Amino acid sequence: MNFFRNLFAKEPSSAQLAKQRLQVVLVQDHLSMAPGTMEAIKAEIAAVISRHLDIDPEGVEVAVERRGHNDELVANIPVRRHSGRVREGAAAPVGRPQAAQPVGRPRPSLATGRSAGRRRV
Amino acid sequence: MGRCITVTSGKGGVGKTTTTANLGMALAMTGKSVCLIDADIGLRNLDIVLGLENRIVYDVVDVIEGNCRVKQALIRDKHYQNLSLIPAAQTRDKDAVTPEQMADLCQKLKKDFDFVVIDSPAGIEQGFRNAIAGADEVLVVTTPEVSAVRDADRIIGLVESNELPPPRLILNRLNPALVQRGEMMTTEDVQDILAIDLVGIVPEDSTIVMASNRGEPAALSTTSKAGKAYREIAQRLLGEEVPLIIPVANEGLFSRMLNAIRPRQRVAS
Repeated sequence: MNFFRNLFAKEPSSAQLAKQRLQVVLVQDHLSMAPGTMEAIKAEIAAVISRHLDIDPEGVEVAVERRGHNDELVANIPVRRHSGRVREGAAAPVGRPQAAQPVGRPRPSLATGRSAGRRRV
Repeated sequence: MGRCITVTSGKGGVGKTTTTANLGMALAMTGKSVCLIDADIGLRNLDIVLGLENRIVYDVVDVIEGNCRVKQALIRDKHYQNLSLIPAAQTRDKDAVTPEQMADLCQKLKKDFDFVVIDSPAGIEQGFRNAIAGADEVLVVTTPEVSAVRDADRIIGLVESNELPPPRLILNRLNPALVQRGEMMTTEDVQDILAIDLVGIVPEDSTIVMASNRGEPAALSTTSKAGKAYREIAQRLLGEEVPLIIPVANEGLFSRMLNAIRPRQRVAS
């Protein structure tokens, strides 16, 4: 049956969309973050790194993810090889050990830990 | 000394009043003495769900302002003498009561009752602050919908910032058939997002509407699935180990076959 399911699978179900959308919006709620903040952080990180390394600014992904009880800012920054090609799937972790870094694109951000933002009255 | 439990949610219409009425009834059915307080001042509702709307003489504001003694405001339930209600005032607003006064009232009631269960108003303002002022523990009610879950998340943060223990979650109106089709968030999805302990899952159930039409909470019914879920939550509140079973859809062969071939996204790993 999985074969048929995969054959017909087109879009994520509304339940999956609901979960993904909630995860994104709750990050913003917890950090009291304005909607454009993540884009600004992304651009600035890309600018800083590109002073030292040849990176692909288009491929930079930044998200806040839930790790246990903490929320962590996770960045995926594709580094260009000297040949100039962008190496797919090899991401340079920033401030986190390589082992814990998911290869490829970051998962949608998960942030429901006890962050300071949520404690606000 | 009894326990004071506040039922809250942030969002309106997710089932706080129904939950309060049913948990109160279910706790009373186990023999515990229970006092319910309707803290939704200006929007009195718990009385009508319990079928006690014709017996109101005094309300919670009368008690707090000293217009009557606590005992005079208590309305006894028709089914269980050990269940009482202090109704909300209908003609006053939320500012008629302060959090200190509510905490004081809860403290007094805890001497006479095993459980004081407070029905919180929706929102995060004064009414909510009054409702949690006297609480020893908080139950957050949500439905598996984006708006309700987002508000629940906000409420959880506010409860924790009020130096209360982490609240526990009641997932209300879960529709197993919708979950099965991938059109409603699963229990795990909601737990993942809110990251607090789950104390019960109440399936969507038409007997809830019928029960409030009659003014007799579903917990009294032996055939209501939601009523059974509420009785089990009451048992868990009493510290009993009752396994949490996620409701599944009761479907015929044809719809099961249809489901099997219906397009469905693989679960992301």
